[in-house]
Amino acid sequence: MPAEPLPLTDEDLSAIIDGEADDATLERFRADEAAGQRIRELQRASDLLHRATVTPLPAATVDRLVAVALAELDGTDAAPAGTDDDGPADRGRPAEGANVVPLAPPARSGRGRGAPPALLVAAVVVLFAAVGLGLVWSGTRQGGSDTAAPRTTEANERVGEVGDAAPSHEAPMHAPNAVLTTTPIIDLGTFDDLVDIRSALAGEFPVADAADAPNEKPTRKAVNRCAGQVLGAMKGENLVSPPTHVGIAEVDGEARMVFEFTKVDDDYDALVSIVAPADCDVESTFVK
Amino acid sequence: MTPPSLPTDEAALIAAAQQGDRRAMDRVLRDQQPRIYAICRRIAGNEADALDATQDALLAVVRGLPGFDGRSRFSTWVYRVATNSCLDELRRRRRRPLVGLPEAPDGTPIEIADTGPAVGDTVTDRMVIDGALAELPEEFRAAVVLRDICQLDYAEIADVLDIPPGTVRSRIARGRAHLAAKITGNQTGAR
Repeated sequence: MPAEPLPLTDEDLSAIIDGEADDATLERFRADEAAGQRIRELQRASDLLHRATVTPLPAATVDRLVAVALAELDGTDAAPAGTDDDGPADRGRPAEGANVVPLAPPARSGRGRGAPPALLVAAVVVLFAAVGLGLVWSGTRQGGSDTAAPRTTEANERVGEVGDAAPSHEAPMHAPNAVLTTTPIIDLGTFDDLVDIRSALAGEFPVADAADAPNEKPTRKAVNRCAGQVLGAMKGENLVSPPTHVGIAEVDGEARMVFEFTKVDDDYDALVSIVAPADCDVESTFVK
Repeated sequence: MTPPSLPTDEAALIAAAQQGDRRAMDRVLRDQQPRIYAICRRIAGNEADALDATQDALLAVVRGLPGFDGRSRFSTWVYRVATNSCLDELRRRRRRPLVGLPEAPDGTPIEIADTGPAVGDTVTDRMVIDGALAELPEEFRAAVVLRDICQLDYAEIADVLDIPPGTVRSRIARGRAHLAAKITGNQTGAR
């Protein structure tokens, strides 16, 4: 008595759908009446996926994607020979830093990646100088209770140079997660939507200059509160506090705060969060 | 003075782009962008990640094109770049917090650019497909997308994913079985 043929598997049936089955499998299929229902189910899944077309991107988005890629062309010319060989094609690893092409004007991008911007360094220096002066000053005065208040005030006045900082002793009372940021708040401009601003910030964060000073700055207290909440929400990401860059922008007609953090480890270079200032809700986050 | 017209032949266009002709590269990128985005949209499962992956893929095309030696078809090479960019995007997505993705009140990701049904398609179909694909392991997802959306044969998919054809066959079958189960609600139909 001939052995009963094994029932066709999904693999067999799927291969039949794709025209990849051999003659023997096709022969078995013809003899297997029970396989008809199953192959129709698999065929339906295949058809549905095939029919579920993807809506093309808007022309403006395509323009932006292509522009960013073409901007890389100049950099590619300058890359060492051989770096292109097989790399992206064979493993398609997104080319290193693929989404960090500088979008800012060249004049603004003269610093290396990861290097602190000059104004950030300056702000930190000013802060340390303020604290140092306060210490020196306090050392020249008699009585410990008299020295604490002026030192705090002095430091806060210095912080206040880049915003109206809340006194440091107040922050924990009103915003337990607040961090002390001294980073200049940069006006990033106006964007149509979150995709637009994500694209613009994929490169280096713009550097502050006089023209970038926002007309309506959020209070330093608000910045500190939101930066702290972002850090709280991103707990586990090992972000460095305070943020290395702070900006404000108008996205789809609404004000937004933008924070860029570096990371303790090197999973990625930076994390950017776009935040609604009223409640510090994170609306978009991306890494680069 | 009118600039010289671009070659209409794909091979000549690619050669010009490889030589550093910016207009030719622009044309190559625009020609390839729809298929790259289609792959990324289905593999990534949402608009934002698909855009990131598409951008990465276009950059990878720019960087990798000078090294393209024509041993495989150009379209296969582009599929490989796009697929790997998407899979890398998924890996990055796993490492980063999800709180940044815009969500509807019910917690589902908001589609940013999918503003209406395409011809021969329905929103429901796409929601079903997105949901089913999202639950599919990445390696199955990529194989099924390359087969059913890109219409590559098993040998081409094996080339793109750098796996044996037998593995392609298995992954497509398992992916499709999962999709069928999700679509029909039949969890016991696998053979």
